[in-house]
Amino acid sequence: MSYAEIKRSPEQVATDLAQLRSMNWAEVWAGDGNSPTSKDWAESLGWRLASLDPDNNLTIALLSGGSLTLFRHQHSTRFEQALAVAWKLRARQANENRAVVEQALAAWTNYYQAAVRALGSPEHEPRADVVGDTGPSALFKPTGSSRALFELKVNLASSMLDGVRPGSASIRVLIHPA
Amino acid sequence: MTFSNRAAVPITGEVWNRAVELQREREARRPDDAGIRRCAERLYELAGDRDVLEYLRQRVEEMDLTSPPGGSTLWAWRAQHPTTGEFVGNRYLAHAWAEAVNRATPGDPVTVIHLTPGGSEMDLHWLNDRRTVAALDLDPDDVKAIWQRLSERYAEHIRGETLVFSDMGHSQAVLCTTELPVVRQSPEAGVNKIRFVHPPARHLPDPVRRLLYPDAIRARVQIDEPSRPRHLDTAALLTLSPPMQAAYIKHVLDQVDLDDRETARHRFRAAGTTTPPPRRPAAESGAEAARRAALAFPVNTAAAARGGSQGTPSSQPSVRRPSPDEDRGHSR
Repeated sequence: MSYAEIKRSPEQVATDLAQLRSMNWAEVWAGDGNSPTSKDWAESLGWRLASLDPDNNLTIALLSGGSLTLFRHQHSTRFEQALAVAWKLRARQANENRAVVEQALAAWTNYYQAAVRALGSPEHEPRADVVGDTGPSALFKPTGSSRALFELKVNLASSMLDGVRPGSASIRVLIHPA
Repeated sequence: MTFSNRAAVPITGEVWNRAVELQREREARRPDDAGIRRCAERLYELAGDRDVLEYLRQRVEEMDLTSPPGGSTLWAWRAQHPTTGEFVGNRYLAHAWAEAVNRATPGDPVTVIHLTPGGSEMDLHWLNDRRTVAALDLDPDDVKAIWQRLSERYAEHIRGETLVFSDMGHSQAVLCTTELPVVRQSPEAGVNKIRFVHPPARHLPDPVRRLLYPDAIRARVQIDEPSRPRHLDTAALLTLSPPMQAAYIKHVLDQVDLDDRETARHRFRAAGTTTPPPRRPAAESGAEAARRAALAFPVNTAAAARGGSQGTPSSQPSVRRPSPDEDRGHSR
């Protein structure tokens, strides 16, 4: 099994989240339709455009060093979700799936504590294990942050359940319109 | 060798409307949540006992991305319908335009990446949909790398003319980072057969738009990211006299050609790999660099005096003016 890739440490995630909670999310979700370019739009929000995919979803770089992918609402200029992957591990064979989950759960605690430091208490205390095909997840609605719901979760590939095919797990931050 | 100037084929109102229709059709085909789960399941079945990401990385090396010899399109970003103002992905505009050209010249077709067998296979996976990213536990950075490799292989297969649907090579788009460099270095395609179908972006000042009209310039440079390679500093350009503008542009184009030759040599030596060599430092940029470049490269002052002072590389590219139809819409 490969080693987990730590794209952002828990401390770095806390820094990224502290920056993201103060964003004007209404402006983010409204999208880049009124800007000459997506680069101009990203810069107007204090971000730097890093890349755009074939569906014109944008990946932006934060001042703190993290990155965030903004997914569009269908083909429109609006956005409907933001995603940052902090930690990830893929199994090469199905018999590694259990170890992948165990490592993700072991890493989860530190990321969860970092999120609490940056965003305050979650809406509900999250469980710390896997139920069915769902890993731990915590929702945050930080005070002073408008129009954004922050979610920290252990995401599991849908292949993890059957025990036949190699799966994967990641710790990711999702931001949803609120 | 002759090739048709297909970039002169206008984007008519009919083409714009067809592009909007294609965009709506694709959105109508976008699977619901259950459909996305089925797409993920199909991909797992294809991967068998391999990790699905590993499968995609291997599969992209085998896909058929062959283009017809008559020409291929590249696209990035979006454009705005000239009458309705609706945003249309340049992907759909390239598709609609290719359909129109192919109706007119069925024996000499042009293609779009997502109409190749490999491109259409990738399209079926909906890899850029946020729900697919969750179901397969993908990192958007990994998805990006797969698209980048697919695009690189598509560009490697281009023979003949390359028609570009983008008002400018956005420096962050695969078009600029991957596809155009490959096409420029390809002996089967080459920088002198790259044509931009859109005029330069409307939001640019007119003097900049005029300077950027030549395909030979837009095929080589980017104007929005000073820290990235191939940057042409348009703000600095406007402070220069016409002869110095020409010298500065020539300096940047020469630098791009030099970088391209180095990269192409490496690709050839690597025989089968496409790992780029370490990059040379980016070309100088900024007003000071422009001035120094202008001083370092004497220009044809007679041409400047006649008003024809746009920088041109040795190949003397033609300056194409869009027809009124073509210029109605614009990218943003």
